[in-house]
Amino acid sequence: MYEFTHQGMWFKWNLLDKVSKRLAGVSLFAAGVSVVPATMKLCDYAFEVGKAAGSGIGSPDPMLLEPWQALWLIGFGTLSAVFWWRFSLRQDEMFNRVQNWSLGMAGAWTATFFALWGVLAFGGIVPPLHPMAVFLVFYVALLGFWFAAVRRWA
Amino acid sequence: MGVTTRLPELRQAQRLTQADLAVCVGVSRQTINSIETGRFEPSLSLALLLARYFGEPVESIFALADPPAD
Repeated sequence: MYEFTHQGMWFKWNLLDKVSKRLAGVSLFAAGVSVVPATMKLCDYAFEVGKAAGSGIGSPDPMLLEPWQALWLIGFGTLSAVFWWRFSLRQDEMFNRVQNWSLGMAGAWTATFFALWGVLAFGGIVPPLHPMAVFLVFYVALLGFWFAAVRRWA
Repeated sequence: MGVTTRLPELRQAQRLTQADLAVCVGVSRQTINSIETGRFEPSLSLALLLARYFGEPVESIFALADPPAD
């Protein structure tokens, strides 16, 4: 059964049963694989930004994924999510309360942030955000709420 | 409004560790620890499961910390 360690950053692997280890392992592996093309693209983009800044020319076009890279991200991301969901079903109610509360709060705050930013962008007050920014905002919010939930309950 | 519990007392009376009790009711040791220290309020089903395990009514194991005055 799952037990949090390092303030919720990790868990005691040896306490998981064989099936849970397999489910969590596949999920984490698929999550890692899912972001490989996007990470390479992001590195290329960062290189272009640095080159543009060094040569005094304008910044490069916003980063866009190739269609296969987007499908790769969705495919492996979905695989990871399905295995993590099945892993979660085998854990106890405290783990699921921490996880569900974090996901709910992160989703609500991300939606609020983008709704407000969208209104401001519509009014020309702020620039529009890159479509991938939703991942960053959600991920940061999820981490923050996850740590808060572990500190509160675990 | 918090919840108080007699869980540590009942568990120790049976000479069980938190890990032993966790295995008996199908949760993690961390969950038992959090219930005993008052950080985590169990669901109704887990509270009933603990009550059945100790053979006590659920209200004798868990009680409101600050019940409203009559």
